[in-house]
Amino acid sequence: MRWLELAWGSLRHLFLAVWAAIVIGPLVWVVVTSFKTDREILTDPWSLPQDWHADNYSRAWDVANIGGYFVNSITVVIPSVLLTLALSAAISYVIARFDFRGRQLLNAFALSGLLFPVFLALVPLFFLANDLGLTNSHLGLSVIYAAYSISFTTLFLTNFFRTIPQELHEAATLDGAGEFRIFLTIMLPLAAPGLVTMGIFNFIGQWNQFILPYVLINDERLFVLPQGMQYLMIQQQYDSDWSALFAAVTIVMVPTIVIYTVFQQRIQAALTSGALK
Amino acid sequence: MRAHQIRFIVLLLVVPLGAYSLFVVYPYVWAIGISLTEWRGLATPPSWIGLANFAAILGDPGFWNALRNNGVYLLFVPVVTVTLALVLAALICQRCTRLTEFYRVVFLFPQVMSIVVVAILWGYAFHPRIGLLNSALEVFGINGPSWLGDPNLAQASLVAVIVWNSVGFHTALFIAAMRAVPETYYEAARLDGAGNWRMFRDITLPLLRDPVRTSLMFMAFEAFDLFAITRIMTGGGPNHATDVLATYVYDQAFSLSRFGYASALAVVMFALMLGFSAVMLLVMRENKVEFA
Repeated sequence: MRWLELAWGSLRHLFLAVWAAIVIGPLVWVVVTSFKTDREILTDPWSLPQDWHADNYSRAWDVANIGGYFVNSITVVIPSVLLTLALSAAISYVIARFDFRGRQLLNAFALSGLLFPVFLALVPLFFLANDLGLTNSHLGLSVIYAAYSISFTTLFLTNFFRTIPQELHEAATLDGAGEFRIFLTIMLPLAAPGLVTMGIFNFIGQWNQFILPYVLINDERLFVLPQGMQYLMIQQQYDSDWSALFAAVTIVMVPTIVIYTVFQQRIQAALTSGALK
Repeated sequence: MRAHQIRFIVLLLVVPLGAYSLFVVYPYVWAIGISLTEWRGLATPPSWIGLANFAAILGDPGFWNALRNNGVYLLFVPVVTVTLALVLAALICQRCTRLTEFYRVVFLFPQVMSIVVVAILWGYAFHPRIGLLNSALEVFGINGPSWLGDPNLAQASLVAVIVWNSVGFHTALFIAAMRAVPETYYEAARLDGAGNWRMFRDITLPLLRDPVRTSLMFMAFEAFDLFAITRIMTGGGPNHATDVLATYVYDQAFSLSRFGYASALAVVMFALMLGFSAVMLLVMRENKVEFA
């Protein structure tokens, strides 16, 4: 029995190690390749670079405008996440805290967005945004990201607000606090853990959003990061600047992974919270 | 409810519901209207043609091709992803040590990377000349195929990428669910002489029924989308071999300016997803096993 357990134990670790290699292998390959010359990439894709070319990175940052796309993404996503939280917190607080006719209806209405595929909205959304001057606009993109994040965030935050004891509300009312004061100074701070979770969740989702900017932004200078990466890939097919592209992928990939590894417990909780609710 | 509370609720809701109605609900409703028109763009107003777009869809080989590809994804992606995730979760969870923590963290790397980065990365890993795969095969003297350029291999390659990208997330979900199972269950089983495999099959797996269902549904909905990965890695090619409904809708609308037809396609896509979820919910209810 002893050798069987030992064999099983090593088999188990072998299997896990193989999958870890399959996950990490391509990432390492990209990072290593990003330091090579184009010649080396074409003739000897499997070896280490002869000299480690850091200039690929300055080319990726400046010429390929990764820096610009990065700033654009920040400009869009920080306001959109804050807006997502503000709009959803308001709706979910009302649903969780007050009893009135039509509450069920409000709840169903707020969640109905989860039912539809975004592809159904694309055509009207494009023309609507166009009419309102919200295409090729970072502000427009922020507002639209937030609007499309309301349903899920509301679902999550409603459950969260329900866990805050009703007595707190009553006590504050007895102390003479108005509804706005109770909401802003008592309820929102108490909901902070839920807001942080949804903040992380929406930040990752909106940072990686592709289809909405793809439809709503066509001015290259305004591209957000995922869009800019795709544009860069198409450009590369004309310019054959492989090394800059690999450097660009590394620039985008490595910070994400580092940030994730540092905050992994929080992020993992935020990512999985959606499915576990 | 008092008057000041009603005023508070109205004030609190007016902006969020306004934005949500305008940008989310209104486009969805409007899309159904557009699907009943012929509309070629801003220069010409839409003209009402009733259900003609839907009739045209039935005779459109491009639609059936895209639908068939979605079907292939639906058949393979959820089952392969969830099975692999279950195996990995079971292997990790057996004894929770530092090393297994390391695996859990690493497996989620693809999930936190942007899908665009994943698609670009694998687009080059599959590259016939400079790619990771073919240069590895070359070491063994094998001339690797053009993974994404061969109509017979392209979709299978994409399935592999989707699985690679999603497995870690579902592994994390299953681990969380497995850790919620009380240790006493396993202790009791061990006293009864149950081995690892028996305990996994008879205790862990039945208790994981709900997360497994959630994951299957989640991946099934993924299989209806796949826009970014298709657009970036193959553009729907070679020769439409990897077209899916999402890319087909996009092309009809924004490449060919057939806005009415594209909206009708999107309505069909929505109906298919609704129908699919209804069937899934029914099937899952019938299979419900009651535990004493």
